[in-house]
This record gives sequence, C-alpha cells and structure tokens, in this order.
Amino acid sequence: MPDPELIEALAECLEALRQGETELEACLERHTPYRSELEALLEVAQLIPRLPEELAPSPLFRERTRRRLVGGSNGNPLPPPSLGWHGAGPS
Amino acid sequence: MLKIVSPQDLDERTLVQRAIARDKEAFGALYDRHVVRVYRHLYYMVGNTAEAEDLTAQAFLQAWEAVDRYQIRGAPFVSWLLRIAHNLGVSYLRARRESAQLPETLIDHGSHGNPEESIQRRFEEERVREAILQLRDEQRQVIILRFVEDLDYSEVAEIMGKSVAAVRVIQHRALNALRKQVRRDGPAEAAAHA
Repeated sequence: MPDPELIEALAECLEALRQGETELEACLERHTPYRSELEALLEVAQLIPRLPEELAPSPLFRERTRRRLVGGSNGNPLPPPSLGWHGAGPS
Repeated sequence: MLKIVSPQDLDERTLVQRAIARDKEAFGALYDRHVVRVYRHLYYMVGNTAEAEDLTAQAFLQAWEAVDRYQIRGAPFVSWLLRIAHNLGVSYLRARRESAQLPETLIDHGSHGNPEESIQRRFEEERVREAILQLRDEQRQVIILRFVEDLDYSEVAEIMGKSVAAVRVIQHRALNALRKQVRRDGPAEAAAHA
C-alpha cells in the first residue's frame, strides 16, 4: 500500500496545477518530504496529451447511429459493421 | 391525470433495468448520455474521426447485445461501456498492426518554447499516450477521466463507482506505472531499437 500522505500530496498538487497554479516548484515546496517522488510523478502527469473540450462525434453520426440502435419505424436491426475486422466482445 | 415520462427523464438505474428488459428507447437514452464519452475514449486510442465513429457505433451495438449480462450491482454502466469500447479499440489497433498517433491539430497543447522543444514534447506525449493505453483497466480509466476529460475527483469516483480516496490511490499507482513504462521506453531505449 503506498504512503497515504504521498497520495494526498500528489492529489493536492495535481488539483492545484489543474486550477491554474503554474509553478511545479511551489507545490513541491509544500511537500518537501516527498519532493523527489512527487516531482517524477507530476512530470509524467504533465506529459499526458489532452483532447480539446469541443471534440465530439458529428451530429449526423450521432443521429444516424441512434436511429440504427433504437430502430426506425421498421425496427430493423443494425447492419453489419463497416470495418473489415472482428472486434472483441465485452469482458 | 397520467403523466407520460420520457426515457430521457429517467434515472440511470431505471434506464439500465429497462434496457436489460430489451427496451430500445431506454437504451437510446443511455446512448444519448454516454456517446460523447465513448467516442472521445476511442478517438484517444485510434486518432481518427471516421474510425472512432465506426468503433463507437460498434461499441453500442455490442453493449445492446450484451446488456443482459451487465451486473447492475457492479461497476456503473458508463464504466462497463468504456471497457467494451476499449476492448474494441485494442482489437482494432492490433488488426491494423500499427500505433495510431493523435493528429497534431487535435491535441490540446499549451504553448511550448521553440520548435525543437515542441517536437521533443510531442514525441514524449505520444510515448505517454501509448503507455496509458497499456495500463490496467481501472488505472487507464482514472487517467483518461482525470487528465484527458479533465474531471474532478468526485466526478471520476461517481463514474467508476468508487470512493474519492480509492480514485486517488488508483491515480498514484497509474502515474507510477506510467513513469516506469516511459522510463523503460525512453529515448535511449528507442534509439537502441531504431
């Protein structure tokens, strides 16, 4: 089980950075006993690529897929998938 | 007077119960609630709009076919959906036998100094993203929900059906695993395999 204080320090620093604190150093100073471990974890966290907020499926796709799922007036099931591969089933 | 309740107004648990009983409208309402999250997860994996859309449709079809196996007392429905989506994404990438990259225009970068630094950072981000996709199920979900979707701890906890404290522990383990993985696949290692 990891050190609960380190877990809290990490959560606090990540939240501070998320809220706009710009300096990693300021956060590390608040948690000096965990400095080296925290620094490594925060550095990798800052490398996680984000998606822009507005990224979403197109309205046309959403509507078309909804019709296929719910079934239109004829209630036909979905046609086969368009991709030429076999997906994994739910686990 | 009898009030007609639209599926959109029902709570998630009721919708899931109805979907299990093969109520398509209820499943349609669940689709409306979760399609964007499932799509974004798949986009993060495959880096292509058309493929992410195809896989999203496929994920909901599989969910509809398997919904009677969903354990209503287990993980929340959206968490179950994301697992189906992820399995599909993994199979797709395996079949394609290549690692998809996120298009430059669809990554939310901050501003980074000079072009050289920018290229280096992009390279590192891709390595981190590939490492995220290899994390254990709950670790990957926490990282994507917290960092990619920018949700706070209580929102992540609700989606995953866990306490905030548990989410923080998983977050720590996930970042530790990422750090080790990225270090293992670091530039020196990559150069050695080039």
